[in-house]
Amino acid sequence: MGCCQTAPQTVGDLLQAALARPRWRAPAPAGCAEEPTQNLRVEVYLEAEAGRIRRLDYRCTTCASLIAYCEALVRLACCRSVAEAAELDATDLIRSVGGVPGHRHDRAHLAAAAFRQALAQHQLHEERSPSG
Amino acid sequence: MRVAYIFATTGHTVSYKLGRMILPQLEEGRHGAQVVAMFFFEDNNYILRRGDPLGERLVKVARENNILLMGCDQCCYERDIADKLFDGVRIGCFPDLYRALEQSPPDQVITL
Repeated sequence: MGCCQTAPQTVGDLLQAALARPRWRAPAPAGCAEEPTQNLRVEVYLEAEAGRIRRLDYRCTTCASLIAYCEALVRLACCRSVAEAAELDATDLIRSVGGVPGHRHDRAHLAAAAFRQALAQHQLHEERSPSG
Repeated sequence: MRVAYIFATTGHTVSYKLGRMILPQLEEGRHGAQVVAMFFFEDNNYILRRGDPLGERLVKVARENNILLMGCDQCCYERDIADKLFDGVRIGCFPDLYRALEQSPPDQVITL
């Protein structure tokens, strides 16, 4: 997975990257978001250690714009502290992917929602764990 | 008869079949079928880019006749034109096309 790349990427580049890089799946997704009217779904897998995101990946519906935003999410959030990553939102994703028309920006909101839920799950897990 | 056109092949597809046959016939109101949608693959999407003279005529006819114009999203992204299309022209893939056609279903889908 890529780390901390913030320069705007094209959808084409991000699609290629999504196909090329090795993928990681946790046993169960940490966060999930759906847009039922368009049959869109995103699952986010997250692993954090010592307050820093160690591994982050996703599985989503095969929509080019959605894949691009999810891939951008991995690049933006990976290696950051959980607190820093929690600041990321859909606007950051939209800004980081060039050339997407406005009517496709809803995909960024979907990816961000799944990521927010993954972070919330992580926080919950940390609070419940004896060492956390 | 209601038809939807899918411009799938390149070459003279847009400049000749659309530009010299379908579009002039639509402008003259004598095409002979009600066109409900046009979907564009690969280089055919360049006609949908703002400033394209043929595209300007097509968009005008589409607005007057309520014709859906949609570009293949991956084709447009690959060509870096997805956010440079005429106002009202959307990008999408098969699910988007089918969903849109549900509002106004064609009797025939013609692939050119």
